[in-house]
Amino acid sequence: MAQFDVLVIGSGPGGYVAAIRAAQLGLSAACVEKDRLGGVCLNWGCIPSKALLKSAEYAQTARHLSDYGVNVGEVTIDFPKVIKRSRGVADRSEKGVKFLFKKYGVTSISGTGRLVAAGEVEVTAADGTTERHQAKHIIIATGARSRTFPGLTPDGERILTSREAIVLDKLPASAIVLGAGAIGLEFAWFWRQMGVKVTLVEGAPQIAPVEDAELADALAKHFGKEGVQIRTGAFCEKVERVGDGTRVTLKDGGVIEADITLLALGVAANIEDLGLEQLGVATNRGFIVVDRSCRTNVPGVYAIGDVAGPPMLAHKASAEAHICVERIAGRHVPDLDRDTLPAGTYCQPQIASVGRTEAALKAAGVEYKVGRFPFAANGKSRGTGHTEGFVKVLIGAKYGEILGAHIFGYDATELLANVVMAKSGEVDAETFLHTIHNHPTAGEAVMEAVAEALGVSVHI
Amino acid sequence: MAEFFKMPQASPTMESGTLNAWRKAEGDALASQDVVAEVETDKAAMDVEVFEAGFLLKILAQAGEDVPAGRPIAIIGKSKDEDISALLAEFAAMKGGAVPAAAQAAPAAAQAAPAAAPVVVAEQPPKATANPGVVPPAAPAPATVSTPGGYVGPTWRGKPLHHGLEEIGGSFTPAKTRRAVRSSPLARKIAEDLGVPLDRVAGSGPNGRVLRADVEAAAQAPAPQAAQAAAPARANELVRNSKMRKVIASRLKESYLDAPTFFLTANFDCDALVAFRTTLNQQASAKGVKVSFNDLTLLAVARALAEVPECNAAWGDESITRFGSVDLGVAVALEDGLITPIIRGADKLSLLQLAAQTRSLVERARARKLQPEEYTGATFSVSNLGMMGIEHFTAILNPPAAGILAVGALQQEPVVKDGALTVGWRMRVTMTCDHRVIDGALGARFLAALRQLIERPLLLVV
Repeated sequence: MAQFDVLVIGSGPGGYVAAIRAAQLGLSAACVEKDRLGGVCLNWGCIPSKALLKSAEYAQTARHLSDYGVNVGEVTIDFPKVIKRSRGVADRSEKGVKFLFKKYGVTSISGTGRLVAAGEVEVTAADGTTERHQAKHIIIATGARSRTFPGLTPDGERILTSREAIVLDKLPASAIVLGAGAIGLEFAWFWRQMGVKVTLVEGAPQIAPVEDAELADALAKHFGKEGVQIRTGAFCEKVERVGDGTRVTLKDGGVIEADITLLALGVAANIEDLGLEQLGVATNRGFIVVDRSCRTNVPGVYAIGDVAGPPMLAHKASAEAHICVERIAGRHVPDLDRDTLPAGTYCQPQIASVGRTEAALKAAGVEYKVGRFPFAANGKSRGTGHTEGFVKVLIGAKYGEILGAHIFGYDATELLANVVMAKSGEVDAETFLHTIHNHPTAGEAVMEAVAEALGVSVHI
Repeated sequence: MAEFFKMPQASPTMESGTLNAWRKAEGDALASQDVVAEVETDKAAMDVEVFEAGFLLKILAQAGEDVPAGRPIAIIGKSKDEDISALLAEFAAMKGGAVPAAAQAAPAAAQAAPAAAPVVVAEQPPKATANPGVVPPAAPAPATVSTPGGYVGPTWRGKPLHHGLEEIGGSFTPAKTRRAVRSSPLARKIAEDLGVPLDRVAGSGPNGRVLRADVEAAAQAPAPQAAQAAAPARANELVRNSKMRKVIASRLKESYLDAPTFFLTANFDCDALVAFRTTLNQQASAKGVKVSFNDLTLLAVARALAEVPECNAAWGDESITRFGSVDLGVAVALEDGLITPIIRGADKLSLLQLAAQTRSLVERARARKLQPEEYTGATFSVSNLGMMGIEHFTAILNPPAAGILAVGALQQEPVVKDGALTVGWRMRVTMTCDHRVIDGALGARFLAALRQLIERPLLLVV
């Protein structure tokens, strides 16, 4: 039995940040993890997938190198090596968290945590032994997992979730991706660049359903050009093993077959077996109910990240970790501004967005101005050959506030940071426009889109 | 070739400037960017620099004079012995009524001839508003000046930008009033639109930055009383804390929070003291000696401390220090703070020695010429606000000393003497005691000793 000021269950981008920040603020902190430090993000999600996608991007680039006057001969894929590199990246990420825990004096506890009483957590180690720890503040940061439905369940061999897909080291000839959110899109694009025949199935009328329709259209065109089959408005009824392959049956009776099928139908929060019921921690629709300081209805129990509700984004978890712990330590930090949470999809060209879509503004009756700028009109992008895509900004009609920014383009997620900063700092369109942008950069396209919204664009 | 050095036009609305002071004298050599004069306009005080090296040959405007922008204030030249008679004649003609062509067409033309004007630097932020947003239909073209002697305009990375960045007449560069309120651009825009004064909005952002939501909340909050809205209060002023102010703050706070203090007030009969001083000053005036009540009080305090050394002490966690010497701190008010110079071994001094030392210390304190050892380490302090009409007050301990005496006004008041009401000189003193060192009875003992010396002042000279 040990006693801590703060004990965190889960070590993903919410949990490890909370534990380290608590330790930095002079609180005694512990972090309970049943698997690898860093959670899904560092081990099976965000980070190793970026490794895979870089391999895919290089494969794509390599096929076009002759356009740049560089000839490298036939492009071949060593797929096990692609996966191996990705695993190496994950291993280093986990070591990084381990190092940071040591550096800041966070006690790392290996095992499965469970609330047993107010201020008390029982940790069951891999060998079944249990140990109890007390903490004034217990933060639940257990994250989420791929969502499954009746008839749509993984078998771990051919019917996969992202958890199995990310370590799958044998390249299939064909794949079905169910769900065209960020995870589905990234795997579809990755496998396609690796030479797999990919069918992307989405129930919503557009791929990237949460993104602005114009971007989704542009992305769909790009996927089509790359040879990905897209079926939107198509609901799956079931997926089953057929011999060595898989078969997906759609609600409209259609049937698609492929070597493997990926279930990318969203994620579900890990709220089971945490002892929430015994303590009376309130949940709603599968998420823990929290206030803006991430407090649950039970004093001393907090929840951050995916378990505390959507959007299910690593940086939202980290932001909540900061807010939660800083406030536990009695420091003033602003509330989470959900309207300024950026999001990205890392195929290439990428999608990056912040704020509201045009459809959402229309539905809310907000008066806005829209500005667009294509990368084909941007000097830097023409020079580098990354001319695909565009920037779309939505500006408040009266005050010029940034309501939304949506970028489809090469490394769009990096370009977006500028706009997120501006939106967060309440920089209005005019101030943004009068901020001198370095030339030549792709970022100038963002400035030009703002100019276009204000009707003062020079380059279009 | 010698040329006129003119009153700069620092802003489009500046019509004239007051020459506050010359920083160079006639005949002085000038290096490039030397500050030659200080000028004050309606908006700001600023230093005026020369752009090129040379000599200040003749001063044409005296300190305190108000000079129209563009009018010569001096003649500068490349060498010391240049003939400036033609320029002097020209200036005399100007003073006779004719205004130089450039200044005549002011402000536009005066601004249009920037090359002949001095460089302006170190401008304090202007507070006033230039005509915002009014763009003239066509900006006048800048005049060409063959003999550039100076320059008005912006600088970049500390250097004058004298290519194409002269200020052209008209209100092409509106300067909006921006108060020092941290706020987002969006919040400012909305505040302007809704007519919410930003300096009355509490900011919820980092470091109190005013955000959109704060402005909108303030706009919805019930309006302040009509009278207030009609005549807006003067804006809050931020006065940057000087080093001295910070030291005062930290030392006094430390002392105030650290020491458990109590106060002892005594009322002294000063009839004898007044008579003593009158006689002393009359008889010693031939020698040029003058003793103040403050000097008498200081000496009395020092001698009383020598009699009750337990009060000349400081607290320590392990032991109380009883100081071997009476080093008396005297609080001296300065324009922007205070300082406590120290009379070392005050109890050993004669009245005249103490008076002379006090005078010297106070003078040097006001001139800020004290050495650190002259104001650190008082074993007891005296703060006298009597001359400012304060009857009675309490002082905060000057650490590490365990006591400080607050001296009130010496004044005539009705007193009862031998059962009859009469008029007498009285003075109230209040001792602040660090209770860890000085208990009530001990403090009272010190005040009794002090009473002896104040009420029987001849003891001070034996």
